[in-house]
Amino acid sequence: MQCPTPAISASLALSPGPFDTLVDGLEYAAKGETGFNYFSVRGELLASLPYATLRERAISVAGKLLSLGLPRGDRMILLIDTSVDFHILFFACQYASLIPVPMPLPMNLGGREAYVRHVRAMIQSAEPSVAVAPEELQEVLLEAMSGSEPLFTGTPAAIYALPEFDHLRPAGRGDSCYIQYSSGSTSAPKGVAVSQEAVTKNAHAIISHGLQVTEGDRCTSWLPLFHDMGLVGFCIAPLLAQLSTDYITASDFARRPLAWLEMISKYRGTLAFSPSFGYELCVRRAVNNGAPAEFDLSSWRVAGIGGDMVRANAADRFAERFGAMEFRRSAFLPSYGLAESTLAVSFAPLDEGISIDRVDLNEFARTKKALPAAPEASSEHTRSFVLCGKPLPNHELRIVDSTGSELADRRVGRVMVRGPSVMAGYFQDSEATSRVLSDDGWLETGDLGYTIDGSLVITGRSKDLIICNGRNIWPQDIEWAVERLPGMRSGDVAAFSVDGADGAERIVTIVQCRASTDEARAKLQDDVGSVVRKMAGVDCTVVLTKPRSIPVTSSGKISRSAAKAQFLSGVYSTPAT
Amino acid sequence: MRDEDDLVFHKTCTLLEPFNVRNVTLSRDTDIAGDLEIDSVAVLDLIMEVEDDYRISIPMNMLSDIRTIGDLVQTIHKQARGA
Repeated sequence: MQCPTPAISASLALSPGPFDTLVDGLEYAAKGETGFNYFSVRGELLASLPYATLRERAISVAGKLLSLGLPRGDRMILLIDTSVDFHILFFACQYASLIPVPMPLPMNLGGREAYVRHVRAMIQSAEPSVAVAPEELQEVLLEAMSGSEPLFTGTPAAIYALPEFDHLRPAGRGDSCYIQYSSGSTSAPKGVAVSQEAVTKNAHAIISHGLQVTEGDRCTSWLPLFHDMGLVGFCIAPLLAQLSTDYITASDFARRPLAWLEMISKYRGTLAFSPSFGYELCVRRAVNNGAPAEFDLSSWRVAGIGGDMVRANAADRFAERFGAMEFRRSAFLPSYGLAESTLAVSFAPLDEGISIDRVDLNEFARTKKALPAAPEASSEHTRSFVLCGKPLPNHELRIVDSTGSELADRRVGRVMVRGPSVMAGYFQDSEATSRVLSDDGWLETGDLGYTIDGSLVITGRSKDLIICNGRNIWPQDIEWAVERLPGMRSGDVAAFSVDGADGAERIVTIVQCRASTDEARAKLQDDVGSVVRKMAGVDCTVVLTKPRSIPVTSSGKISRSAAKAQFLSGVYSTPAT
Repeated sequence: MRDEDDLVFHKTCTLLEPFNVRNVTLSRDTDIAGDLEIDSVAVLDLIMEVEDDYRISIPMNMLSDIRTIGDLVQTIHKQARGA
């Protein structure tokens, strides 16, 4: 019977690098016995890929890709779930100086059309020469490719059947490592191009500073590899630290989140990350299905939280539910990061769990100052935020006001980051790049926050992005979808999110309605809810209002922030007649 | 075969009933995400129940092709045959 790779290589000393490129890191890791392991949702080992085998296969496949005569820097679309094939092809690109572009996978019930549109826009932006998907996703891939003409489209097996060139072309330090499409709206996606140098430096900081990896560490992950937390945090970083990683797919996790905990328990995982909602999902499943099988979570050294705003109450409930299974509250590690800075920007101190800053709500809302609340202040007069730690070594962080001047501690403003992890720019989009990246290297993160003695606290986003169940949803995508309904006009819709129960975001859609009958109004209300559910996979609050009641900016565009302020102040609660 | 198909259909409707807050009449043409109040997390709960009940696995990439209750019933048959 096949066994997962060991946590410790008997024949190789742990080296945190820094390595100059992914190829350098893999060449070193391949001397040991550690590697990647893939599990089914029922906990069976499906495949094991020691780094030595990964290196061998990646080199061979790089030779096959080079037989296609692709120039350096050509892109390869990977529409592949977490699997041996994903990793072989991703690392083959590193040995061939091609740039892998991982794509999101279809998730929503009945959402095929929207999904294909989304992926098509990404493919058009990436202009790939090669596109690969397994048999079962070929149809979707081909549909999404219409309009693009890559040199080669096929399955991993079709790539492996190509003739092999015997020379390699490993990517150098300054070359791109991958392109990640997680920014920008569905219709205008932006690809974050990350260099070998940025990714190896970020991974090194994660390994040595953030997680302080030691011998015997083992990673357990369900995070999708088309996102930075999965790709950098739980594929590239473990490889560059020679750690073994155990995987289940994100879709398996979404259905059976406890499989993640079961793997940690069984294979003695020490490092695992998730956005807040992943911890919530575990609690929800454990409660719905009665007590799960007894897990032993005592090996879990770092339970990282990141990806969206860290919600302390989600973590609390998880610790309460799984404390009896030896889960330690102090294992929680809040973090902050974004794809535009490769992955990580800051980590809270290890072994301290979650630290909360409780601020006076009145001051916060009125003067944008985050001042400590009086101990006796009641919860409706306070807001609690989670401390996300100091920036990584060699990285800088600052909070600025709307004019760009730096703000003092406890003043809320835009969060800016500078350092070696910051992306080179959005792929072939200098205009979008110049909007977020200054000439002197400061990245506009799009988040709002403040600092306490240099520790970062995130309070929200300055851009309008909505995050629901870990998914980025762009309000204009919702607005355009609703505006396509019969009788709707452009500018009739404003979508935004408000803090719902437990700090999770709730989508609100304000719709200008011209219908006069109650039936027509009820139908519109239902139709809007249905459109949003199909698009975003979540319920939303639909508010119908009179024409011309959504506030507009000086340039005539709808103002989401003003609409949100009106909504919160109760302007829309009076029936529109 | 027809009886078995009706059985699957009725069972699926029973599973979906908690999400039918607007009391629409469930038929094979009912648009699951459109007509019922079911969000993406609840969809996964539902899929898991279906998988457990029929001892099948529905790959995620099939979900995007399931729009109506009829589609879901067909998928259950297809996966049950393949298992």
